[in-house]
Amino acid sequence: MVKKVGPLKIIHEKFKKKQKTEEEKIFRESFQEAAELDHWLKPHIGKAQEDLNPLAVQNLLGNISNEDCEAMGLDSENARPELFIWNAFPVPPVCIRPSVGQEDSSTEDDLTILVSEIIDCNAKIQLCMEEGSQTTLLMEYWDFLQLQCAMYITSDLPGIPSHLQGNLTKIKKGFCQRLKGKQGRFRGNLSGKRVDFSGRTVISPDPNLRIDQVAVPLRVCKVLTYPEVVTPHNIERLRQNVANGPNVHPGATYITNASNGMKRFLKYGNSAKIAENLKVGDIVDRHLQDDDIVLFNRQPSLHKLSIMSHFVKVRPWRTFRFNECVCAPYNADFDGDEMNLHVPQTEEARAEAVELMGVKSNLVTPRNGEPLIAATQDFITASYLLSRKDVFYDRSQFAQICCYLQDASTHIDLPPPTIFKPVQLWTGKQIFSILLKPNKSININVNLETKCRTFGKDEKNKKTGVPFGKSKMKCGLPYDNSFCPNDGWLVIHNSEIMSGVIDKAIIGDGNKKSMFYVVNRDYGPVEAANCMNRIAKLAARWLANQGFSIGIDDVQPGEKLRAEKVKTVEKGYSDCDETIMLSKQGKLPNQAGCDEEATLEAVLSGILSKIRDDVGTVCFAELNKMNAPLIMSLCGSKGSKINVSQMVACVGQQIISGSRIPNGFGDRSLPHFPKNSKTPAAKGFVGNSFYSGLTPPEFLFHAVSGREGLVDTAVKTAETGYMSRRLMKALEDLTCHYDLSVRDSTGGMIQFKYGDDGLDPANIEGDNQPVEFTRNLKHILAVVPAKNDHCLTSAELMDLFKKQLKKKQFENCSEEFIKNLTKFIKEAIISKLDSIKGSSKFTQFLQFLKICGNKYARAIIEPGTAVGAIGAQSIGEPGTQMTLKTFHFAGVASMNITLGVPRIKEIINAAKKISTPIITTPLQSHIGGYNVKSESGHVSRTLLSAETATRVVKGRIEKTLLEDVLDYMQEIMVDNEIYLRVKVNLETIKKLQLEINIDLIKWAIVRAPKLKITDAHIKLESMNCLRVAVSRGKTDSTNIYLLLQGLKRVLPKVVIMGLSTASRAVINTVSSENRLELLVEGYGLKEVMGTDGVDGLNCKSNHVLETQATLGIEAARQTIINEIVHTMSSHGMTIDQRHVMLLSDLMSNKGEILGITRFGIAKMKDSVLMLASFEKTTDHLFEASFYGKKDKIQGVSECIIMGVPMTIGTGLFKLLQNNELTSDDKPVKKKELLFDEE
Amino acid sequence: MEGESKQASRLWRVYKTVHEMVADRGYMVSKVELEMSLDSFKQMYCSGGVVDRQKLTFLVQHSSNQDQLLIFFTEDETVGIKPIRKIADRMMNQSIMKGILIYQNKLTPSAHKVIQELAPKYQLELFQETELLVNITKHTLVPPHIILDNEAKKTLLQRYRLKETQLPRIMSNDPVARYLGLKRGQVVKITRPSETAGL
Repeated sequence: MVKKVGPLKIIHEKFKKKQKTEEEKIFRESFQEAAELDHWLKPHIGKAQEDLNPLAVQNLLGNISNEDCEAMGLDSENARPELFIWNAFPVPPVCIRPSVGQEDSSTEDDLTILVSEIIDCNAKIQLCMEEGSQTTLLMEYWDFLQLQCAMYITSDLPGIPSHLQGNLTKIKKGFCQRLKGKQGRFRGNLSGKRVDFSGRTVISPDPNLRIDQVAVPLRVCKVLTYPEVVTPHNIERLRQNVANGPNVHPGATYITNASNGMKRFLKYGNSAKIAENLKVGDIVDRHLQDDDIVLFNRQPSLHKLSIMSHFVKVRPWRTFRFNECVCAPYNADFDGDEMNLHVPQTEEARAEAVELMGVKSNLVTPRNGEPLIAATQDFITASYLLSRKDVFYDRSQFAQICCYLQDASTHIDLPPPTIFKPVQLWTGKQIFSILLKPNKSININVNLETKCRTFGKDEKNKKTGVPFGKSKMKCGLPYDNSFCPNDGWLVIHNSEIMSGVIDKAIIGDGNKKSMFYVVNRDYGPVEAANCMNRIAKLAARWLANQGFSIGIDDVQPGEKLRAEKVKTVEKGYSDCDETIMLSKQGKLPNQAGCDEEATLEAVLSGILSKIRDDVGTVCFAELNKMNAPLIMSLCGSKGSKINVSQMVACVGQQIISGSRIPNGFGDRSLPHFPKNSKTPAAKGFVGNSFYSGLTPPEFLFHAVSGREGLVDTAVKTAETGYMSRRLMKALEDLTCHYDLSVRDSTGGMIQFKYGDDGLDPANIEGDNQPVEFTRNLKHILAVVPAKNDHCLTSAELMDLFKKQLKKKQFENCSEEFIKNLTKFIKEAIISKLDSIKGSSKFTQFLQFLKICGNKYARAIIEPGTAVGAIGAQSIGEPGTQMTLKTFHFAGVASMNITLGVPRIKEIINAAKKISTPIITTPLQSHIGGYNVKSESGHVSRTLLSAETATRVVKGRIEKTLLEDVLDYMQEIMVDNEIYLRVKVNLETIKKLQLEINIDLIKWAIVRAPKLKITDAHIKLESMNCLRVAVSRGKTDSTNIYLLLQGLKRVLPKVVIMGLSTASRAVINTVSSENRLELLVEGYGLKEVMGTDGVDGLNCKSNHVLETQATLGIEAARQTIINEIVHTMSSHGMTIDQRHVMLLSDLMSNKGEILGITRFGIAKMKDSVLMLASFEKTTDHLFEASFYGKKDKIQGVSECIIMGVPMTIGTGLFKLLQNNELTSDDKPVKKKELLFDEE
Repeated sequence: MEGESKQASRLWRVYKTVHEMVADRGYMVSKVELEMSLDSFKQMYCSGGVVDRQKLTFLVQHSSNQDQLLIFFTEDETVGIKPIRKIADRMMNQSIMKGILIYQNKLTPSAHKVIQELAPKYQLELFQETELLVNITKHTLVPPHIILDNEAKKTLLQRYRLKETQLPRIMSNDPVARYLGLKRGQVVKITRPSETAGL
């Protein structure tokens, strides 16, 4: 056996065997001479083993034949095993290990020090050998030398013997350490590099800038330059730049002469003269100037919108400034944030930057196609105030506001006033009509009908108390939505606002029914950006005149509110006391799956959360309509309802990890309360508002809960950051090709068509489809004049539609799209045609179809898109917004499922063990179904009978232990018998509806693992009694009493029925489908599916790997999609299906579910450089060198490391040139190298 | 006894799934066997309340080629070498190349070895009874898998200019792959329902 002894020594224990061999004899005899000289040696000779010193190893390895190398997977030419033993000591050039010179001394690099030590040690060994000093000393030097050489490679060797540690120079960085880690060569210098032509400073807002502009300070502009080639068109301008020199703004720093390539610094020399001599073709490194293209970035760069290209606006002072609309993609605010700016240095780079990364090309996020760049905060507040029903302006005021829209650069058509007499008055809403369409020449006709944030069907009429949704006109018809008392229904017809206020839902982000989104979809991003520019200017300027501020009087509750609040809180408190009393008396009925305590908690938190809600409602009703916080929370610009009512009325219940403040002080939360108190105040209910002030206990509870939030955020950022990194590494090289298939860099097929339909998630308008039919039809009806077209009958229309469908524009559409379009046309047009005879017109219909076709065609994803990277970002980025530890209820109150970041992590890691495995188990309809109407029409089964049947199935699945049905267990010791009498409670069995009897229990005990009880040990005493004798091996000498005790301990834990893996099953009512189902907590999908009474074909587990094992890889893939979508949506986050599909397709691509972890990624990719730049850098490098691996430099990471353009995006295609060499042409000769011989 | 009728119904489910499986693989199975009800199953195979597993063993003929497939049920809870040898003998005698063994609990490691030794010539596939209680290809999460013939496979590879290794993979021990008896090198066409593109 070959053994490792200590950190570096290897021995071969050849002679451990009992029988003596000839070889051993010779080996032992070789010590004879030494033993004679030193008699102390003799007793140890027997223990001697062969030492595998490097020389011996090299010889051994050298003897391996080439064929054997091949068989071991080694490269027999370039990587023979003996080559891994150093014969020469590599010393890198000084640039690798620079010495730092200080005044008169110099500090050498770690490597240099080590090299000198090694030389020193060598010299010592040589001296020893020449002088013939003691062997021990020599050996020590030898070991030391070995160790130092090892430290040269890696400095964190484990298990260095202590006697060597003393005089060992500790170096911080060996070669391995230089490569490893975030700051190491791979991640620090190869995958990411320091760049020139960049700047960083604090940011501040400027609504007067366009959204695609960035204000760059003058002094930054003087440092950052762009190399512009002189052409006849720009020569005069560049001449001026050169003449200005490096210190005057539109200047230049360097000039490169075209003829000789000489670069000159313009600070010195006669710049006027140089300017004079400027020639076409020269390159001038000129200062940054207006409308140059720069990349603007804020860390953390979580998605592609974190780096966008802007146009430069040169401005004085010292901050980068940009329009507040662009805050959202960068996730920037102005509390001291800094941002980075980079200047692309070639025309090609600029063109790509402006087309692909421009702000205008990125108004919507590719995560789900919702607009991300939209009005925020003040812009929304101002728009809301301006668009309210009671805002009227006379001509001068109105004209003034119209002038705010832009800088006198556009002609504005003044619309007719809304009120003519007695004075001409215009409404605030008209401003927005102008904002969309300032004059007739700008042909933007927005048609939109949507609900605002304030739309409320439940809004009660103050006089009658009837909610709006139910109130009727005198003629008996319900009111149209636009009659909403809150003015909450927006109708825009041909860019004219008919009703509704402008709030967050209309101009804010994250809404596909917003005004800017419609402009963007129907008239393009340029127009949408223009509208946003206008609204920014308007809002800033109008609000500056209007004034909007918050003061202490805004949060002072009125008399009525105060009284109401006290009443509500007191009512809540007394309700709580009552509940606690009930619970103490044991009169509180338990909720499903909860014990007494859990029920009490659930009821109490229900009451308490209702207190805050009620107080909040009162608070909103009572506050003044001009109250600033109220306005902000109503229009959605800042703050929620809860924020307002916390300031004004009541802070509410404080919560730690999902429950009320726990007892940390013995049996109470604080010593201010009686022990075991469950009252609201003792468990963290804060009845005061921030205005009235918190009492000391309340303050503490609030701080505790606040602290939890902070800790959560800190943990979450680290966790999601790592998750994003892993996702990115796994998905980075997936691209969409020209046939819309998704492949990785080696050509492996991931998806045959991206997202099944080849559409870009950023262009999805409606529900997974690129066209939202209803709105587009309305738009067409409003925009396209019907003229004198003849009316179509429904048959004609259908014919026309079918004919159109055959045209080219619908050729590539997905089946689903055609299906939806057909359905829409049938439902929305044809069915209405029959009622109102022939109202659809020929041109309008054609136009509608044309728009549908065009929008579909435009939505097809561009070949070369880095779909993988976008997908990774789309899944990673929302992670930061999820609250970390959240548990949600799956219908049943007592059933928790893990959600949030931990759940996403589980799914992505493909974890074997997940925290809440749940098998959703539908039952066969004759068991779980109730109220099923038979054909004859009478109801066949009641809920109760279904429940009874379900309980039987539950018993078959749920793990039942012996102790669950046990009456008592008795130790009985009589003369020659020692046994346990086990009495089972038949009543319980009957109650639990278990299909079990004493015989089955007996067999369960026999079958139980590790008990070693056989059939013979158990006797049936009666129908409910068993006698279990102690089993005891013949050789076993343990006290029989102890054995009995042991048996008594384990016996109750024997599983007598159900699946041992299913810890709990809960009956869940699916009332929408009139059936019951079981939710099984635990593993064992296969067994649950096979259980009698279960509808095995519809069982689903939330455990991906288990699904893979039972139902196969396809089902596992679907489970991943379902689980991720479910987790995200329960946090209110929408992610386009296509991203999730891509991820799960990648994870299931290799036939088994691979997690996005270092192990999974290593199985997915074979590029060494990519793996080395991810994790375990040196391990991958060692392995690669050992097997002589080759890297083709195809993936993204490898290309970045090697500094070559990657095969993604604009690098996807290659140009091939026809080589027309004829045989007569001389072949190109290989260039001779200087050192080649002959 | 109740336990025995449970056994019968279990085996009836297994029996049905096996027949469906064999039919899906292209062997000839009669309609009677596919649609057998529990009662008639009990009548045929249940003698005295106990199902005779030996009786369940059956042989099928492939519809398009000469292949025959023998399906065995075993009595023993744990299957050792002996029954395997017996099966192997029968296969050799009747010169049947393919077999399916349905076992109750588990196989001994040595039995596994015997099967591996038989492998290249006589192929014996293994299924546990619990695996066959439900026909997984009918499960809502499992889309239809269809085996491509060589011609279709070639067209597919040509259409996308792929090498064999560049296709997405399915493991040979994947439950669905085992159900279909997939061999290395075969390609399946999977038609997934899709929210974005329809079926």
